[in-house]
Amino acid sequence: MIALVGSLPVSISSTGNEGSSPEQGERYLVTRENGQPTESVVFTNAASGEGVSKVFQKDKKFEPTEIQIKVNEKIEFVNNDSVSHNVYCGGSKFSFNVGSQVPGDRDLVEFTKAGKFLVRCAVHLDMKLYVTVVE
Amino acid sequence: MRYRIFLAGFLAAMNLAASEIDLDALKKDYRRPTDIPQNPDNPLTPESIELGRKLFFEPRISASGLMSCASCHNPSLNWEDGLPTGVGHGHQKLSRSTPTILNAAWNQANFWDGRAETLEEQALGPIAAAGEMNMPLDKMLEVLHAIPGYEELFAEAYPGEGITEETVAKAIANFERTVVSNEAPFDQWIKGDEEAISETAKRGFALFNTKARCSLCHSGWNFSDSSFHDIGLKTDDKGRGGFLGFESMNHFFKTPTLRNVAERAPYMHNGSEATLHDTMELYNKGGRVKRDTLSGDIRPLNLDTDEIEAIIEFLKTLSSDDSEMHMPRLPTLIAAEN
Repeated sequence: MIALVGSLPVSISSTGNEGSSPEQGERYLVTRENGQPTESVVFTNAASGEGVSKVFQKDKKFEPTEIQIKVNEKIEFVNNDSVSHNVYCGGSKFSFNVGSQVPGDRDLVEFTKAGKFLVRCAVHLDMKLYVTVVE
Repeated sequence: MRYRIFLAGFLAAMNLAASEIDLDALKKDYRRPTDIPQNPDNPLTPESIELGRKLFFEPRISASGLMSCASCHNPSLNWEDGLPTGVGHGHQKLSRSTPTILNAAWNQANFWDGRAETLEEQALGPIAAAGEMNMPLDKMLEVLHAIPGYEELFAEAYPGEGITEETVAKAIANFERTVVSNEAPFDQWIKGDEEAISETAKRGFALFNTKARCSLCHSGWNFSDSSFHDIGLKTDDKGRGGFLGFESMNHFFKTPTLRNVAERAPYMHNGSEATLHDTMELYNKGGRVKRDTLSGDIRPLNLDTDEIEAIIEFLKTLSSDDSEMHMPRLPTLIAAEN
């Protein structure tokens, strides 16, 4: 089952805003310290009442590189980089692919299976995120 | 009038960015490494490198008995073939160009679509591919077993492991890791010799890292981050999208190294850009084809002729006077009878 919930358009376009941090969206809060996003902010999504963790792409790396969540919780992937990225998981038990993410794009993925998954960027192969999903 | 004033101000700002950029900070990102990256499961040893060198030049592991890895990855031509696309078994024209072996140790992915992440995974692919060396791997092993000299060479390189697909791949991968471009004028400049490259080339380097946006992907001492992009070439080849089954990555191909790039025409996965000027025109236009998969990082650059010439002059400073590779003496059946 593909667990991709949806791609959230943000107000920042890909042109002329390289390096900018995404602005506050309508439904999702980006917590910042000194203007920069903090790592893996877990908070409640007011719209759905479910927990959402954040993972950022910055300097061609995932931040953080490891994260633990519960089944049916979500991770929002935020491209805070100056280059385009992708996020996918190619496992047989659980898989998803958000397609191309230009700077500023964010995608929300629900993890519906327990297990340890390797999430990667198909554009930059050394970008790896290990997601542990527990019951 | 207001538009003109704005435009002039904009261009002045861009020129300022290119000329006043902190070159010293930028240069640190381009220092040559001191060591070759290794695979912990296949450490570099003189014996494995020498065995790999012999296998790389070994034509008898092709169906015709005439092709070796070096037939296409020709050391006389910067480990490529100088052709728009490769020529394989039976002189058939292949669909993609031959990528260089130069600095392959730093590759995070191999093949234009990145389907092999290590050199060990990559090494056997062209040997077995019907269009390339066309040699079934079991037949390859038969051939190597039949040449007695190889038994000893494998035993020295990989004691107790024998002649297997794995040891063939490991040996070729280790030889490939030793193919490293020498110090170029650019490297001498990075080390502090201000006379090593021209002022125009230095301006080209600054543009490369700013207005021209090249360093978004062509980064680091090897000028590649091994990333994949649709840069707007006219092509039906799905590239990485075809390998992954991701439509959003159709026409994505790997970012190649720019070392010795001025000597490595034609360019791109299909050889479609004949010269560096053609390539700069491609990028300056923001790609030749606009489509949904075009990278968000590709956009019109508004580089003028002088700026393009400066970037090309900089690219020429990446050419090094590399050591010549001598053909190895291969074990022969005749020697085995003596």
